[in-house]
Amino acid sequence: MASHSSKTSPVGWSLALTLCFGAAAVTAAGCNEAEPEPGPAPAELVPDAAPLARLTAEQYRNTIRDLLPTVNSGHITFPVELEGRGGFENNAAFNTATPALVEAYQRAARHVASAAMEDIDAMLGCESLEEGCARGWLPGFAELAWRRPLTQAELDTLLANFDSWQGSHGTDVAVELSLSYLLQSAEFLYFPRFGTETVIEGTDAVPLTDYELASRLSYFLWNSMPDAELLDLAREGRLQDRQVLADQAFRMLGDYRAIDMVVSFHRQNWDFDDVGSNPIDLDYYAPVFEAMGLEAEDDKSDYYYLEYSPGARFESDVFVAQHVFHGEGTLEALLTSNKAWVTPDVARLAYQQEVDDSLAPITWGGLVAGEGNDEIGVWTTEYYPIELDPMQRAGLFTMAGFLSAKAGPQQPAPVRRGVTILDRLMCIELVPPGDVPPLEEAEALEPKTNRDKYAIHSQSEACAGCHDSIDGIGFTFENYDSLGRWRDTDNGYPVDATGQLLGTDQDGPVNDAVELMTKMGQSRAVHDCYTKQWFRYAFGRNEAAADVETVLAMQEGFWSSGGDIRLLIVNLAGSYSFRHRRAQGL
Amino acid sequence: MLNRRRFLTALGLASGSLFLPSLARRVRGAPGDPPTRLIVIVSQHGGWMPTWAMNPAGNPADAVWQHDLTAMSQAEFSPSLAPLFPYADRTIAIEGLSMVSGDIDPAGVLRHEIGQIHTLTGNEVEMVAGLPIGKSPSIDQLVANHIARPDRLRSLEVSIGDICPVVNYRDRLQPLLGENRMPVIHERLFGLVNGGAGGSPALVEQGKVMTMVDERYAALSSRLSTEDQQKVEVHRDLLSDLRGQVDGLMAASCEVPELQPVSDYNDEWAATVSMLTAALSCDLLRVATLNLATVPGNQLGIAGDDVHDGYAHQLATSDAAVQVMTDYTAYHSTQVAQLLAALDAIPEGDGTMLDNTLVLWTSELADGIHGFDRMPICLFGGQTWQTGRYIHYPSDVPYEAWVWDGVRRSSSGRPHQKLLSSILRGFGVPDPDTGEQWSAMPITELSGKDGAKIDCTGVLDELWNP
Repeated sequence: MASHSSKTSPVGWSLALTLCFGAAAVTAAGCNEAEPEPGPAPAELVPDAAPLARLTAEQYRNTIRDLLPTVNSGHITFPVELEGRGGFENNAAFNTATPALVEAYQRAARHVASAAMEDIDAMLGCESLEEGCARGWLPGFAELAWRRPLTQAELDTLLANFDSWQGSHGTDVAVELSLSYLLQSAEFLYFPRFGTETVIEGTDAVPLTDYELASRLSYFLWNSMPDAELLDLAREGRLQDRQVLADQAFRMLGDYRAIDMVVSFHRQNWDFDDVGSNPIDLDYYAPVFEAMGLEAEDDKSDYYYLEYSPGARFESDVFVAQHVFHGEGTLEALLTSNKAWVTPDVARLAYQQEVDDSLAPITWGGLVAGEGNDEIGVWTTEYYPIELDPMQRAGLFTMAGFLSAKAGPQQPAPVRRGVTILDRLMCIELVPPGDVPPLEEAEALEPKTNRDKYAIHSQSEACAGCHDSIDGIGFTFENYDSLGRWRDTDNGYPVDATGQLLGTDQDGPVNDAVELMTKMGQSRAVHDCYTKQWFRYAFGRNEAAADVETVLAMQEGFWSSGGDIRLLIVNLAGSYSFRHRRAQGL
Repeated sequence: MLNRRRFLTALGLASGSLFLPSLARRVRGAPGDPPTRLIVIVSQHGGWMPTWAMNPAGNPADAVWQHDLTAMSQAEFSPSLAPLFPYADRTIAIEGLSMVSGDIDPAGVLRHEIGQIHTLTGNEVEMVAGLPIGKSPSIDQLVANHIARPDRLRSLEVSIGDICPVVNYRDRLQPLLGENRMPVIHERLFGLVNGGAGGSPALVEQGKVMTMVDERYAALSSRLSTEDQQKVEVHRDLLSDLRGQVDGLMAASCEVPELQPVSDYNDEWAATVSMLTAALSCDLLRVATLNLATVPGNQLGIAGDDVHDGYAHQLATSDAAVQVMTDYTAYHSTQVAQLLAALDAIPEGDGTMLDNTLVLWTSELADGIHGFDRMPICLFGGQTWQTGRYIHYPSDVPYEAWVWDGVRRSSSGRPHQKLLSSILRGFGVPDPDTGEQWSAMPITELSGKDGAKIDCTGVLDELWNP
C-alpha cells in the first residue's frame, strides 16, 4: 500500500462531499452517516455548467439492451466521433450532430423497432394485441424511453398518432412506428437538464429534478438508463435526499453495469482501443510463431490477429474489473499489481508462462471488428488467473495490451509509450513540435539498438526539450518487444532500460519499467491526473476554471483515501456540482 | 498490387458495353460548363517537389508558365505522377501554391493538424477543449450547398485505412469525420434505394415520424441556452434534410454494387471507388471526399517500416526517404488513375462521367518534413477549365516560407485560398454576402515579410486562361 493512505480529512473535502461521502463516513456497506442538510450553498460551491449531453454509441447500445431486452443491440453502429484531447466519448464539446449521425439514429431506430416486433408479445406482455393492450403499454414504455413521465400533451400526440397508424396499418406497424418516433426524439437521444424552478438563494444554482438526477446517476454509474428502482424513487421525489442518493450510488456500484462503466472509463482513458491496431511484422517475428508450431503465414496471421490481439485487448478489461471490484480497488493496484487474468495464448506468447487451467477462469468478451463484411463481431474467451514475474511486470502498462499497441511492426516504440504515459497517466500535454529538424547525425551514430536509434532525438536541441521527458519514460519499456514479450537483449546487445521520471512528486532515475510504475503508483501527481480524468468522464466535459475547487476537493479526497476508485466515483456522483446546474442561460 | 485493367475488372467495368478509356477517345462536352460533381482526395504528407514537378521545356522558375501535358512523353512525366500519364489530357497539375495561412496560424498544434483544417477551409484553426477544429465550412460543403439534391445524400466522407483526421467541415465546429467501415458506407449509400426494405409501411411512414420528431427538437430548443440551442438547431436542420432524403432515396433506382470483402488498404480503395462511382452514376450524391490515411509500409514494399517517422520525416536528408516517398506519391497517383478510369468508363450524355466530375487531389502538407510551401495539387476532369496542362507559379509572395526549424526560403508560393475560390467559382457557388460570383475565402489578407500584405482573394486566372 502506498504511503498516502491516511484517512485524515483534507482541506476542502467538505466542499464537494455534500452527501455523507466524507471519507470517515463511507464504508463498503454504504453510507451510514447522514450529514446535515446544507443551508444556502456557499459561494464557492459551483454548479455544473451542464452543456447539453447526448447518448454515446455505447450508451445507446446499453440503453436499448435495458429498454428492449429482446433486441440484440450489439450490432448497432454509429459514426466515429471526435473526442477532445484527454477527453472522452461523452464530451459535450464535440457532440454536435452530423449528417451521418442523424442518418444513423434514424436507421438504428428503424432497425431496433423492427427487431422488437419479432417478439412483440413478450415486449407488450399481453396475450392479445386487439384489446387495447398495445395502446395501454405505450405510455409506460415512453416514460422509460424518455426517462421521465410524459406531459399530457406529449401523451396525447403519441396516442393520437398511434391510433392513426393503427387504423391505417394495424397494431404491429403502429407500435413499430411509435418506437421509431420515441427513439429518434430529443428526449431519448439527449439529456436535457433544466433543474427545478427554484434558484437556490444567494447562488446561481438550481437543483436537478429527481428524474434528471436518476438519469445522471445511471448514465454515469451504468452508462445506461435508470432502472425501475431509481425511477420509482424519482417518482416519489426522494432522490433529493442525499442519503437516498448515496444509498443508490452504492447499490448501483454492486451491479454488473458499474463494472462495464469502470472498464469503459479505463478503455477510453488509457486507450485500450488501440490494442491490436499495430500491424506486426510476421516475418520478423516468424521464429516466435514457428516455435509455437505455426509455420504457414496464414496460421501466424490468424493466431496474432484472431487470438493473441483480442486476448491482449481484453486482458486489460479483466484486469481493471477484477482489481477495482474484487481486489484492493486502488489506482496503485492497477499500476503495480502483477496479478493478472490472461488467455493461454497470451500467457504463452507474451509472458512465457502456462496458465493453470485448474483455476477458475473469468469469462470475458467484447466487441471487435467483424470479419468479412460484418461491422462488429463479439469475441469471448476465458481468462485464467496468473502471477506474472514481479521482476518483469508491474501493472497494466507492463502487460501485453499496452506494450503491443505502442510498438512498431518490429521494434517497440519508446516515444509512443512515453507520450501515452505522460498524456494519460500524468496529464502532461506536450507542446507538439512545429517542425521536424533533419536528424543528420543518425548515420554517424551507427545505432546498435532500438534505444540508440531513438536517442538521436536528444542530440538535437530542438527535440531534447520534450524528448528528455518522453524518452526518460519510454526507454524504461525497452525490455518489452512489439509483442509485449520480455527481452534482455536487443540486436545482440544488453537492453538498457534505465530512464527517469520528470514532472511528478516522485521524480528521479529508474532502472526499468517496474520501478517506474512503482513510483507512479505512489505519485500524488498521477493520482491527481487520474481524478481529473474521472471528473471529465463524470461530467462529460473538460474542467473549467470554475471547477477548480471541486476538482481539488476530489483529488484531495482520492489521495487521502489511498486511491480508492469506487469511493472516488461515489464522491463525484454526490458532489454539489453533479447535483446542481447553473441557472444562467436557461 | 492491382494494375489498371485488373482493377477495372474488379469493379465490373471492363467488359460489356463499357470501355477502357485508353482504348477509345472521349466525346467532350461544351467547355466552360460547371461540373455537376466534386470528388476531393486528400492524401497525407504532401509530396516532394524534386520528384513531383515537371518542366521539360526548361521554363524559368521565376515566371508563371504553362505546359501542355498531352505533348509530353511518358518518360517526361515525373516519377511521382507517372501513373497519371494515361490521363494527361484530363489533368491540370498545379505547382507553386502554398498554405501560407497555415504557416502563420498561431494555434500551436502540429503542422499536420493545422494543414488538415486549412487545406479545404482556407481558414484558421479554432481550439476547442484542446482539439483544433475548423471554424468555417470546407469547400466541398460549400459546393454541396450549391449542387446537392435535397432528395439525395448531401455528401460522403470516407477514410481509407485508419480513420483520418478531419478535413471536412459542414460549418464552424461541425467536423465531418470520414467513415472507414465499408458496410456502413454501403448501407448509407444504398440502404434505402429501390424502395428500401420492400417499401414497408414502417418505412413509408418515416416522413411523418420525422415530422413528429422535429416537433420534439423544436420544443426542446426553445428552452435551452444559446449554445445548446445551436446544437439542437443543427440536429433539426439535419433531420429536415433527412426527411427529404429518405423519400428521395427510396424512390431512386440504382444497380447496387455488391459489398466487396476487404482485407487491406488497396481493397478498401477498390471497394470505395466501386461504391462511389455507382452512387454517383445513380445521382445518389454529388460530392464526396476520400481521405487517405498513411499508406501502410507493406503496400510500398517496406513492410515493417514506419512510413511517417522513418521516411516522410527524413526527406531532406535521405535518398532512401526520397525514393520511398516518391513511390508513396506514385502509389496514390495509381489510385487516382483508377478512380479516373472508373469515372471515365461510365457513359454520360455525349461523354463520360469524368467529363462532368471535378476531382481535386491535395494534401495537408507540401511535404513530409511539414512544409506548407509549394504544395502538390492536381485537378482532373470536368469541363470548366481546359485540362491537359501543367501550371507553374513562381515563389513571388513576400513571405519567408518555412522549410524546417531555422531554415526559411526568401519567398513563398501563392496562397492556396485562390485555388479554393477558383473551385467554388468554377461550380458557380455564389458569394454568400453579395450573391455575385465567389471571390474570397474567409482569410482575405495575410501579413508577410516586413509587413507586406499578401492578397488571398480572387482566383487562379490561369485556370480560365490556357
